[in-house]
Amino acid sequence: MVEVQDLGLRVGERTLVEGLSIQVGPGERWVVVGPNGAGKSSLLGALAGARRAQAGSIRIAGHPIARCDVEQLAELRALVNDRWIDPFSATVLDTVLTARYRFGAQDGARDTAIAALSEMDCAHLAQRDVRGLSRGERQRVAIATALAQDTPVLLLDEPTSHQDPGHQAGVLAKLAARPQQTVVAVLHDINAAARFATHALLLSGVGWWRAGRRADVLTAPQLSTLFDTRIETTTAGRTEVFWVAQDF
Amino acid sequence: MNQRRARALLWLFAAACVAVVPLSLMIGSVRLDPVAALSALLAPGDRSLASAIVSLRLPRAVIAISVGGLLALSGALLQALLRNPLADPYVLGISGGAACAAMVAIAAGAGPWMTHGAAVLGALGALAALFLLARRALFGTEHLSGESAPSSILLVGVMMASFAAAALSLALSLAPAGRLRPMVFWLLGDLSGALDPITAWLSLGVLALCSGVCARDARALNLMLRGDLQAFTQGVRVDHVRRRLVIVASIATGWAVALAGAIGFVGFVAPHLARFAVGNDQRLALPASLFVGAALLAVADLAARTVAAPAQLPVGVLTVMIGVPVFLWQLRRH
Repeated sequence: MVEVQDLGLRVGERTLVEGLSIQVGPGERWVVVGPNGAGKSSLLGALAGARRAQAGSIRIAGHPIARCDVEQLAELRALVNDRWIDPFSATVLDTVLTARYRFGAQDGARDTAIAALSEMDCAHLAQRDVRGLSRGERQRVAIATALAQDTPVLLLDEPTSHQDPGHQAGVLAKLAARPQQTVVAVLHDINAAARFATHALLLSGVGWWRAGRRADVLTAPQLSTLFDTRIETTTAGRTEVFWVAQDF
Repeated sequence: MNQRRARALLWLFAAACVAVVPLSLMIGSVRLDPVAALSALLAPGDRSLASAIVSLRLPRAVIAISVGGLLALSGALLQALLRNPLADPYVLGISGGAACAAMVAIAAGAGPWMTHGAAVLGALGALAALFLLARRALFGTEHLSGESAPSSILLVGVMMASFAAAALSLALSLAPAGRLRPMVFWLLGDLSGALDPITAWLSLGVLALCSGVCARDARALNLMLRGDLQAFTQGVRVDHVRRRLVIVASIATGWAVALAGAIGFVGFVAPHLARFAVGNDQRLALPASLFVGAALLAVADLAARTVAAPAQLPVGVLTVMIGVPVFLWQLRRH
């Protein structure tokens, strides 16, 4: 569904990503994990077609995105980040309805928007002003907006960074329960990442990367190297959890 | 915001715009009754006093409406494009360019037509300078990751406006004493020279053209309010829409300033009043701003030529004196 071939991303003098090649299959859920400033958001920007790659190519559903126009891209992927801008007041419902832009005037847009809001546990906020929401609520509205865009690929930049533990689990469970959608998400919570993902990409920010099935990639030794911190595993119930063994 | 209420208010504003026209025809130093005004309007050729008066008052009312509408539309567009509620039609320096050129023309002894022409050229020159100086924000695509395009356009615009203001002061200080009065009156904002029917209908044409482009891009503008990257991912050609609307706002401002001098306050306050009434959906807010601005300027001009008759007050002063109390009253209510 998303094919990345020899991708190179540079910011000024810094090389963030070099020679990155991954194949994201339909319905797979990939998490991108790495230290601050490693280029995770830049990678999502490139996958979204908003940032030009310095080398390599990206295809979504077979279309080389460098040659897609804006409308075509909007049919292929939606992007969530946490840089919302709400300079003027607007209702939550109207904000979610912006996602239906590519469909033009169309019946049923409202129902789609309400359904997306309910999925993100925000249906009760529909008539509220977006500027009065908490950051967590605003973030779920942003995710609902991306769901309402109804695209095969969903790109999420730290989609649960402002969520309480209950909502983090709820949001990730809802996203995992959409088998028709391919997800690439940047997540900082490695335990949440491990439970959510089918595959993982470790991005070091200094050139090297690892990609593959979750069980092969999200391991304590690899994560320790990645974050330059001692990370170990322990079992809690039936799940294996990572913990940071570094003293502080 | 209730959609039906917003639509009803939009129609009300449009009706107010239309209603100002017959009032402007009837009220003045010589009062006309409705029948006389109507018959003069329908038979413009006859030599009655009424027909002579109407042929003077009609173009002025039409110009007041189109200039008010253009300034308000320009202000509404810039407030949305720059995501800054403090923006007004002067913020990009377009009107500064127009005013400078007009001042130089008046100082050099040009008549009204030459002054209008110079102002239009000045506005176009300022627009060209803006596109040159802010070309990275207007033509680049890298801003999608940085989100800084509106603020860099704003910064370039503010610098250009400051430069124009300095050039304007220079023109005023170097101008021959005999020309100072028309220059100052022009700067205060003045419609008393606007009596030419061709200019009046041309202005309505410019207004229609600008509104047409806005009607097409209003949905896209709704998305761009929420950030360039967001709008881009949802399918908006952000750079195309922004360039088109900056040009529309500049043409609207340039034309209005050329005709009426410096009365930009309408372009700041009308969009705010319109949004108080109909909300922030640009499909309603843009036309509502246009109607509110048009009605406000037409009413202010009516007052300007009647309150202290036979003297004419500068309409720019009256728009502020009417606009500020109304704005503060609405601000308290919301």
